[in-house]
This record gives sequence, C-alpha cells and structure tokens, in this order.
Amino acid sequence: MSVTLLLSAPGGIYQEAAQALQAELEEAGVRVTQQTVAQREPEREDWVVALGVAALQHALDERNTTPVMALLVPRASYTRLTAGRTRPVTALYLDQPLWRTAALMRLALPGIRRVGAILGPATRQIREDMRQACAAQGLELHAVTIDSAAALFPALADLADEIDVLRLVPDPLVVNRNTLQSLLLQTYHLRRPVVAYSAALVEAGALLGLYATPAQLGREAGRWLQDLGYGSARKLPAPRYPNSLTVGINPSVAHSLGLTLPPAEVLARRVEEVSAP
Amino acid sequence: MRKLVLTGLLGCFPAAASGQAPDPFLSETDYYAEQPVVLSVSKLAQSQALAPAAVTVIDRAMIEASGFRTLPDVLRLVPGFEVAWVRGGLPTVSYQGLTSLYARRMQVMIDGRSVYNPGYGHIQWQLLPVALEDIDRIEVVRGPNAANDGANAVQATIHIFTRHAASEAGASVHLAGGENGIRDAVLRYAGGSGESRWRLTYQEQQNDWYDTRYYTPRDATHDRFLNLRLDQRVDAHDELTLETGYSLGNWENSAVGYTFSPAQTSDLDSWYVQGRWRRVFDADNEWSLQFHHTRSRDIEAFRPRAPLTAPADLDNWFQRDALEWSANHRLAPGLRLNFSAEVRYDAAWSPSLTHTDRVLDGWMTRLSAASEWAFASDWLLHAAAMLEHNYYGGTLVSPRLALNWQPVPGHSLRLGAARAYRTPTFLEQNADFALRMGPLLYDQLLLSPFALKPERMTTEELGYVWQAPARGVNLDVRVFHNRLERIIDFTTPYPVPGEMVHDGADRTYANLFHATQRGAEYQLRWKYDSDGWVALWQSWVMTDSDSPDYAASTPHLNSGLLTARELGQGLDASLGYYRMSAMQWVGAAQPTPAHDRLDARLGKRWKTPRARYELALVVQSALGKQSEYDAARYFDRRAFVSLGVRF
Repeated sequence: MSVTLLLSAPGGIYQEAAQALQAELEEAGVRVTQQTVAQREPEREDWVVALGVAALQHALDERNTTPVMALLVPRASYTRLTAGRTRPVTALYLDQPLWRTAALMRLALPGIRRVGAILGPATRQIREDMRQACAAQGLELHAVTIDSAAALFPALADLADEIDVLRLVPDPLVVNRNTLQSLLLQTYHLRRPVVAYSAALVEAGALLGLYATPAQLGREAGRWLQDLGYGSARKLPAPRYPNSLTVGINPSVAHSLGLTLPPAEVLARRVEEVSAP
Repeated sequence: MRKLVLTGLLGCFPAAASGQAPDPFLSETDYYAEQPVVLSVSKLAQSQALAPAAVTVIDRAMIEASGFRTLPDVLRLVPGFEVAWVRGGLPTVSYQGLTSLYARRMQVMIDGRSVYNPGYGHIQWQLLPVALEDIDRIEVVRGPNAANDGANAVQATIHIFTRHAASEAGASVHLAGGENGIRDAVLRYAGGSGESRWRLTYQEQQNDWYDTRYYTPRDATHDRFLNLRLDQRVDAHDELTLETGYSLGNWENSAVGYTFSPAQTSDLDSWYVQGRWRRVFDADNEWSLQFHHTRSRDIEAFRPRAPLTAPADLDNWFQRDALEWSANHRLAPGLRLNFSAEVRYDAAWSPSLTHTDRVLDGWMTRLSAASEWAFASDWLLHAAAMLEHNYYGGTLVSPRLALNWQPVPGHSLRLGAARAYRTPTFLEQNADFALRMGPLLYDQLLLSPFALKPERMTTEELGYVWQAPARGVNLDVRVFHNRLERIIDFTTPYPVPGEMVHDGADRTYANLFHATQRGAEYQLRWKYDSDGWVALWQSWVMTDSDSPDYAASTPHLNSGLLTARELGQGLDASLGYYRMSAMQWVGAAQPTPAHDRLDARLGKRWKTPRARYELALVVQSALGKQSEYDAARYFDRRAFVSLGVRF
C-alpha cells in the first residue's frame, strides 16, 4: 500500500502529525511519501492524507479519484469544504465532540451547574447540539450569539452573572488576538473558570482544556488507515471524531481559584470511559 | 517541544478586525496557534493552601458587599486588623496592635510599588491614588514577609493589585452623597483596543469624619486624584505597563499629638509614575523590570503661640525612586524559584521636625531568593531570604522557612518561621523638634541623640487551610507566636543645654522595649448557595511586654462578619459586623473602649440596552455612636446613597 501525506505547509503541526502517522504506517510496511501543497505532484497512491484545511482544499480540487483522508481539519470546515464534491473523502476530525467536553466539565468541576458559551458566525449552528450535550451531563447551557466584535464584552458581562464556568468555542470572532487577553482577564477577574479547546489556551490562562495533539491525531489516523487498507473505489467509512484526547490543566490558575482538580491523566482516563450518547 | 513545533504557526494567529465581518471559516490555526500567556504567575492571586504564610484575599465581591468607601475601611475585613480614624485625614491601620497612631510595621505595595512614607514610616492612606473600583484584589500576608518584601514587612504586608486595563471597557460613573458631608464622585473610562489598553480614573471624596455634635472643631477632608494606567502588549511574550497619578488632599484639624495649635490644617499633594516591562516565557517562567518614582508634599500650616516664633509650620516632603528586577522560574516540575534585586533611594525633608534645611536621604540595595520545592507529592518546602543594606539598618538578612503538608486533598497544614526588621525612619533617627523664640531654645520636645538599631520580629506559626470548593467552604486558621525586640519609642527626659524651660527633651527616640504575642485567628468564607455567602473571622491575641503601654496595645479579641445575599429582581443585601475589645493605642491619651459597628447595604441593579445601573443605600455604624481611637470622638450612625452607571 502506498500513502501520500499532503501537508498544508512544511514544519509545525503538519510535520508533527505527519511524523507520527508515517511512523505508524511504516511499521506496518506501508510506503509513505510526504509532499506539501506547494510541491504537490500526484503519483501512484492508494490514499492521500490531507493535513490541514489548505491541503484538503487542494486535494479536493484535483481531478483524481484516489480516496482522501482529511486530518487536522475541524468538522465544520470539513462539512463545508466537501459539500457537493465527488472525490471519495473521509476525515478524522480535529475537534473533540461536544458531549466529551461536557463530560469533562462534569468530571473535573462537580460543583458547577451553569455553563456559559459565546458563539459567533462560525459556531452559531452548534448551539442546540451543545445544549443537548450539556443537558446529558446535567448541565445548563447559557449561550449567547454575537455577530460583531463590539458585542463580545457586553455579552460576557451579561453572561457572567448567570454562569459557573465559561466554555470557550473556537470562533474567530470570539477568540482572537484582540480578544484573548481581555477574555481571560475578565473571566479571571470575575473568578469564573474557563474551559478551552487547545493546549495553548490552557497555557495562556484557561483552567482546563480538552484536545488532541497533532501527534495523537497522526497516530490514530495511521492505525485507522491500516484497518481500512486499500481505499480505492470502495465506499469509504463516515468521517469521525478522534478517540485520542488530552486533558490540559493550568495548575497555577486552579490553585489561584482555590480549586483542587484530579490529575490530568486521571481525568483523561475517565473521559475516555464516557461513551457517545 | 510543543513550542518548537508551533513556531511554524507564528504569525498565523487569527485576527478578527473589529467592526468587519470576519471569515467564519475555522481552520487548524484556530486550535493550534501559539497564544500569549495572559495569566502568568505574577498576575494570579496566591493560593492560600500553598502559600508560606497566612494570606487573606479580599476580592471585589467583599469590597462591594462591605459598602465601605475608603481603602483603610476595607482592611477591617482582615482578621486581626485594627482600623481607626484618628481624624478625617488620618486613618491608621495595624495588625495585632503594638503601635501608635503611626503604624510603622506594615509594608503596603500597590502593583508592586512600596508606598510607606520613609519620613515617618507610616502610610498616608488618604493620599493613595487608588479607587476601590480599580482594585482587582487585595492580598494581605498576615505575619512577617520580609523574606519577600524586605524591611518594614514586619507585622503584615498589604499587596493591592489594580485591574489590568484590558479587564474592562467603557465608561463608568459612581456618585455617592449622604450625611456627615459625604460627597463622592468616581469617573472612570477604559479604552483602547487589542494590544493597547488604557484606563483613566478621577476620584473626589469629601466628608466630616467625626460628628460635630460631639466633637469640635471639624475634621472635614477633601481628597481628589487622577490616575492613568496603560497596558501595552508588545508581542506574545512582552508587555509594558505604565501607571501615573496625582493626588491632592485638604484636611482640617490635622493636628495630632501636640496641642499647641488646634487650628492646624494640611494641604497635601503626591504624584507617582511607575513603569514595568514584563517578559513571560511561559506560564511558569517570567521576569520583570520595574521602576517607580513617588513624591509627596505636605503643607501643614498653623500660627505659633506668642511669643514663640518656631516652628512656623510643619511642612515636609518625601520622595522614593526604585528600580527592581524580579524573575520567577520553574526549574523542575516540583521546584520553583524567585529572584529579585532592587535599588531604592529614599529622601525626606522636614525642617521643623529635624531642625535642618538639609534633605535627609539614603540608598537601599537588596537581593532576595525564594524557593518552593514539592519534594514529595503532598509536601511543599518554602525557603526564602532577603539580604539588604539599608541606610540606617545596616546589612540585614530576613529569612523564612515554611513547610506545607496536604495529607488529604483540600486540607493543608503549614509550619513556618520568619524574621523581619523594621528600620528606623528619617524622623526617628534625626528628630530635633523644639519651640523657639528667635534664636533662643524655649522647649525641646523631640530629639534623636542615639544611633538606633532596627527593630526585629521573629514569628513561628502553625496554619491550617481547608478548601472545599464543591461545598463553597474556605477556612484558614493560624496559631502564632511573635517576638518583637528593640522597639523604637520615646524615652524619659534627656538633658538639653541651653533650654529655657530646663525640662530636657520631653521625648527621645531609643530602642527600648520588647513584646511577645501568642494568639490564634481564623477566617471562614462559606458560599452556601449560588446567591449567598458569609465571611466570618476572629483573632485572639495575648501580649506581654516590659512596657505596660505595649502590653495594653492589642485588643484581646477582634471579630468580624460580612454576609451578602442576592434577593432576586436585581436586589442584593449585605450586612457587616465588626467588633473589637478594649485596647489603648501606644501614646494615646485615653484607652479605646470595646466597640462594635454594624453596617448594612441594600442594592438594586438593573440594565437598559445602553447602560447598567446600581443604586445602593448604605447605613454605617447602625447601632449608634462608637469610638475607635479615643473616647472623646464618636463615629455616629450615618447613611448615604450611591448610584453607579456603566456604559
């Protein structure tokens, strides 16, 4: 079997995921080639793994029927990019499922009841799913949707009175270079813990995060490809969320808020045991 | 490792231009881009369970529920703290007594800037340009903290942290008015965007502190200040902060201690500028470089009684300049280190009290190191020391050792010992205050004929912290033993050649007494449901001293209770009760009887599409009149109404 890894750009997270994927496949005797979007030359291949949104876009634009697996692509973007396309494609999503983050909040912070979220144009459609995911864990979702940057902090001020924890969602209007500092400072000022979706946000000052690292995603994609074997012309499996996960805790923020959380590894194991509804 | 991997994404940080419709298309960059560390160690409140000393954190909820208008009053919320208003312009704040109305054994830092007056050694609370609305939190370290904060952090250290300019946006107005001439206005505006933020605050406060029905003359005060904070993020690692402010105070009847001029008034002004460059490498590693400059001037006018010609006034000023570098590093998962180095210049000028027109000044240099070592999973060892050279104190080493043990999650025990020094002030070492008739010396009142040694405090303590966030409980208990040696105070008459009244200097500064204290205190905070909480604290202290004045200077029991509850419909109510047993301030003419005070606040919040409002009614000392310094002055019941608008 021969697999081409198509990277959106050299280095960075693409390289980190590609390395893990390659190691996993090469162990099973699969031939692996790495290319970047800039130097892409289709060759005899059984699979193309597109790493990142740019790589997926590029692969979908090719006149080619080799099956594609998208990696490092969030679910919402995958759905939009692949709509109406004919090339066989599936994905191991980048994001963690909503129900899993809800389960983590319940496990890590048993005292909380009301979860706040600020949604923007890129995330407004997940509101109902998020509400159900929270409800399944006995949590109440208080979500507001904003459509301009100016509405963010008034929305946060209104929301803060009625929530125990703020769950950040990756909406570029909500979390960006202009807003992050104020978001973390204001929520800390109000002593509301923040649950985030990336390691960098936990390091920046969120209390807790649930995410998969690029290497975890690379390894999981490698194992999945081995199970799938030659993909050409067959019906591909549906895209799915990763099983791999990492729980990140910011110990300084936890201590400062007077919170004692179980160790991150323990939480990760407990979250892994929770199954999809 | 992750850092290296992520460098490929630097510069891809998703930036949503404000006002424009962003592209709502998520990519991997939204998840994996490197972010600046916003809440680095130095921006976070200390953890009580892991701290090497007993820490009280006063947050915004407590400040608002208390209904207090001034910073010294807010410190009533700390176990063991005595707060007394000697005059409307002269509040005094101390921890566990052993002090005159000029409490000199407390270090106070605003955003890391030391604000004690090197001339007298006390804090000019009324001149501090910080509005309660600008405060993020107050952390009070109860007990010596010289290993971290240097000389004068003897009985307690108060760290006041103001809000980062990015932690709010827009304008706010707060107005208050009521009995006893209470007239307050606070105007604030927080602006800027993205990486450049600023906040401007103007505050004006007036009141007659003591009731003229019982006490004349008036002690009305009028204080104003303007203050600006700029926060500029330079890149993912660097942040610059600049703060500057100017305050003005006019106080009637500011005379204390000397009765020869009851009509004395004070006009004060003070300005400061402070700059800080903070470089944050990651959540655990950072350093900062800070400078500050403060200059305060006091014009104290009165007419000397004929035939005396001097002192013609009590004008004075002091100045402080400091440059400080400090670094926090985590060397291993369980080992954290902090280093700091500082050079400070203090100067003071007070011709009437020192009988010289010369500016008294001196340099201070210091180096400190502190380590926090989790040598086993439930143990934490703190070891810290400050080495400093002070213009009067000489070379001093202030160490601290503390051991924290967390046998069960949520429960933490602490055993600690610390030493701290208080260095003599410019006045104590250089006093020469006399009444004169032209060139003739009529009566020498104050003199400093001896080289003074720094006072030394040694404390051993046992602490217990219980934190149960799921039950909303936070309990802190401290049992301690203090030994304060070489207390600087006045001694018996001292012969002065040429003095006309021939009684010698009435008061000469010397290292005279020692005192030991044993005591226990606790503070409990219980958030019993999502709408209500109670804070309760008490402090018992037994003081022994070779001076009866010092032995009597600490209240045996000091208690407080603050509770707040949301009543629904935007209404909230709170009650504060503060009680102190009898004591006598060192040097006070009369004892302070046991007294208590009940404050109540009722607030109503509402909002419109354009603004949020809060109206509140506060009644202070609702149980009636009480005396907190001497029995001749009463703080009687008073009410005021406040209105806050944010838009």
